[in-house]
Amino acid sequence: MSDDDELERLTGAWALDAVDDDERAALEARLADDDELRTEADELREVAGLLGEASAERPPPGLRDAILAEVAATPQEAAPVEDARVADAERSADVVPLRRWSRTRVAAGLAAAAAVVVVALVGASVLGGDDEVPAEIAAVVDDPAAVVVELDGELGPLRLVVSEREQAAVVRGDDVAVPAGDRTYQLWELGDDGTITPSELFRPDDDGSLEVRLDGVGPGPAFAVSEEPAGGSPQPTGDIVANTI
Amino acid sequence: MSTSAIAVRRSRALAWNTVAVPGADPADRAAAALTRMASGDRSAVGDLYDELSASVYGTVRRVVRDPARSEELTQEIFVEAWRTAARFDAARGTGRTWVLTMAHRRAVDCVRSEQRRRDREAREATSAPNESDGPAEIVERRAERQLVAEALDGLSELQRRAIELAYYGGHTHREIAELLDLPLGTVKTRIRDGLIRLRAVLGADR
Repeated sequence: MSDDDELERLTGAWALDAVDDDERAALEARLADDDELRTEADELREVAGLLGEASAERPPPGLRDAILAEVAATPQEAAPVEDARVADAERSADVVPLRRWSRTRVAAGLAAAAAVVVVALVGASVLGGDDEVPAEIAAVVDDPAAVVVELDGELGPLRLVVSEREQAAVVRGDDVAVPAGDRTYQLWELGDDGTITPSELFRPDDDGSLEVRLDGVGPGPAFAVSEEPAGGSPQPTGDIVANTI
Repeated sequence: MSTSAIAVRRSRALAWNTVAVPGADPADRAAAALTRMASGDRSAVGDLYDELSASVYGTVRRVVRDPARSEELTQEIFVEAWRTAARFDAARGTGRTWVLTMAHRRAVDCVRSEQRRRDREAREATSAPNESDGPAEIVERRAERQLVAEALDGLSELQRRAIELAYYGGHTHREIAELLDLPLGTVKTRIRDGLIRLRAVLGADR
């Protein structure tokens, strides 16, 4: 029997952590190249998880608080960026529909994008804070509970930092096209129930740089941006030029 | 493509605590919490804990046995999940499995390091490990526990023993071969066959 056959039969033991370090390394190297075996291994891992769940037992009181306290003082590791994930991210971005006010398609885009591995560079780079940011901006981006939302589309990448505490968001971007005349960009909240709620207006500086605080921005959970006439619109009249990926 | 452009093309799930994050499987609340954690949202750790603490603690306790050590390990596991949340890949499995895999691995590592001091093999070779434990205070997933128990009972004796010694006992397949006095290849095959059968009985949809 070849070594390959030996490895193939090891997926069960691997799924149960019943292998030594050398065996684990050998099998995982093989899994990286063998999609079929990878699928089997992943499925057996799911089964192994059921064995664990069958032992569920309430943990001692106080553990939750202890964990959250330690988490509050623990930084996250920088995420690894792998070629395959880059490719996935690009492919997913390509299929996200950007120009239709179709809740279904937006939702489908969200679901597809959610399957892409999240690369968490944002927390450190956005929430870390600059020394010279204006106070009203800092109040939002320094909120430790703020949520970062990435938008993309014709307009290019935008980043929305939403603070529940401040009931406000900060939208940021570079090289953002300046709307003609007195036209403006308008943010829309896309609710879970399919509602589209008008939100705040913003324009980049003449050099295309954008950093504006938007008060009264709600929880979303998704957002879109369109170009609208001065003063904004009660309902979108322009195409979506960016939305939650 | 530059790193910053990649970051911008991420899936971004926007949510307050009360808003579900869109995901491949809407019912996978653990994945939703992990996705939020990956964006730096510390409050999502509490959600993950509420969803998985009983499964994680129970898994660890089953393997490690000592309650105080199990509590320490459970804390380490959730902190580790927070630190490394960006590695979670929803395409590869559920958030629940990702965390439980981490939990089991930590528990097994703990037991194996202790085994260097304590020779447990002889004792465990003669008693089914899951029956000698005190009655755990099972508060959740009673039906699921029952299903898993029945599924295990549906395996051959050898499959069941090998899987229990591996998952609950923390033994390697080599150790199990010695414990059960079987050829190495046989144990490997029985574990795999047994898991495939469990998958068929329990469904691999979660």
